[in-house]
Amino acid sequence: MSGATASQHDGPSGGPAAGAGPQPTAPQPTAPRPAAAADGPARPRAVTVAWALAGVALLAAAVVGLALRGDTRVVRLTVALPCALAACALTVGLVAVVVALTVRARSRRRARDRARDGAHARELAAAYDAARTAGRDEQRDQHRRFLARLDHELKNPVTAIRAVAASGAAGAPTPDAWASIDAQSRRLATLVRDLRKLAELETRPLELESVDLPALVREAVDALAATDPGLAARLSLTVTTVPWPVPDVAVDRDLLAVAVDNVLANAAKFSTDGAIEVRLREHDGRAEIEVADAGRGIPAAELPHVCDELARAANARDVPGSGLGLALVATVLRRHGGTVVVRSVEGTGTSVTLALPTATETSGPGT
Amino acid sequence: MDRPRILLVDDDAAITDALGPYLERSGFAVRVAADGQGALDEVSHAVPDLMVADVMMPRLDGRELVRRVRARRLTLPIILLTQVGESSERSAALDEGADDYLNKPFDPHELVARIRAVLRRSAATPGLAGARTLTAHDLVLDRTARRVHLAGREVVLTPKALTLLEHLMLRPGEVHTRERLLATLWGLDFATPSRAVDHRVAELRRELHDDASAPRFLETVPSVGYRFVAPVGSA
Repeated sequence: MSGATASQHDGPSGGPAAGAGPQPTAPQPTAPRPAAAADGPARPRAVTVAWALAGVALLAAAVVGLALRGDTRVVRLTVALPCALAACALTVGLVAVVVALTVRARSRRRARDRARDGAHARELAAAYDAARTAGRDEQRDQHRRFLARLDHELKNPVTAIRAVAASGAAGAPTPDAWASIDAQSRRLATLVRDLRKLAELETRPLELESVDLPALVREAVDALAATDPGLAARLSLTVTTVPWPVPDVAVDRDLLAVAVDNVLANAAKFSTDGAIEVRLREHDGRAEIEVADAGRGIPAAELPHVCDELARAANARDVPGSGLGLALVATVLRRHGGTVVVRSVEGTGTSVTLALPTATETSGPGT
Repeated sequence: MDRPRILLVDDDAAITDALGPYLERSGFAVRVAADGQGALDEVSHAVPDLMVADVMMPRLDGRELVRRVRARRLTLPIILLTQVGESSERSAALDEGADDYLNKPFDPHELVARIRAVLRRSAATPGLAGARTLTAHDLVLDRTARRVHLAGREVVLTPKALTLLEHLMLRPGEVHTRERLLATLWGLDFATPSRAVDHRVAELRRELHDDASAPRFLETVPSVGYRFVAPVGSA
């Protein structure tokens, strides 16, 4: 696939793109149909979650390095390791400075002879400030989107519970009313639990071990196939072995398995027929797991935020789901220094690619 | 037979006011304390059969309460209601002598089921929760050193497999669902089913030379989960 490598990396030390991947060049459009260009700035992602009143979660979040390039139907999600918000803001700024400075490199070269040290420093400071401001704006945007979605998730159950309480004050609630309270409070409890678990994923220690990726993916595909013969007939797995096999990766096996299971389950959930193709390959020193389906796809306008917490596409409301699956996948991959790329065309299908660094990333075959 | 005596400890009256009567109706004799210090005072007065305590409380929190109770060499079972959902909090709670924990918000039915299970367990295997070493046949698990020996030879396990083995050995004979194990030991009981538990059970069987069709240690309970079948002793 073209332009598969996305800029990624951010160490816990928050170093300025230490060992960063290639700069985010404008990739060629990869969706099957052309679309208007929708360039977006490199955007920082770091998610922090805080718990507030009555066990309701408030989650402050930001996206690092989400780059929209070339095609509204293509979103590149680059994710970074979590760290304290302040450190993140700094890191974000520094990473973006590198990006900004690289983009300007050519014009700067022409002006280099004339550039004085002071002017250079001012330019650097201005680029830094601009990047930091952009990062904060994005954080605020994502936080605002999250709160809006949280509001949406909370208001119906709370209204239902209050309605039962009001009718109870007027007389004995009916059994149906109690059942409603039970159902709605379960809904709230599940939401709180899932958000907390997602927050835990940000900080839980990774138990890294060397993992045979083809075996892990095959196991996941087989398990999904075992749930439904119709699904089994639609599922296929291709593991590239030449010119070189997919190397082992050092990952938290259980977390990665959950991420792969989620992506597979999404493909099954959102495609009622057509093939589900799973492809595992090595690409530029990264192991890539791609899950592609011929399902309903994701509306272009919602694609950029598809990995946000509680995100539910407008055309997915009839399918049960928490809106946390892809957020979980993105978090797991970010914790491993990896990336998630979602490509989709509404009505045609979706491809989700999980890319993980391998031990050979810097000295792999062909490099 | 007397109703089991439960001491319910939480600083939030919304919890004790609602849960206390529910536990009474479920067949327990319930006393309530408003924080850890109040609970210690209650325990000094009369030791209950089991204590259910919140973690985050003023004056004396739930974790410190567990430490102080254990320091008095009291073996009454304790269930912690953790408010902070961190996995580390969870394992720390268990490490420090709590017998079980339940995350808020929880299903009250689940709490009652857990209370009954812990009461049964503590009657059947008293003192196991606080034991430093667990033994079953020729298997020895040193909980402090985090090492496992089989027939005198050390067995090297991944941290998760070791935690799973410890969890199962502390609850011999009990059937554990995959979902519950995932929630307790992995904190991964959401979004999607996972085969993480089965994967670690396979590792344990391999390393402990346990035959799934004739298990000495780990039995599969079809379409439910797993059970540690060997009798467990402590040292």
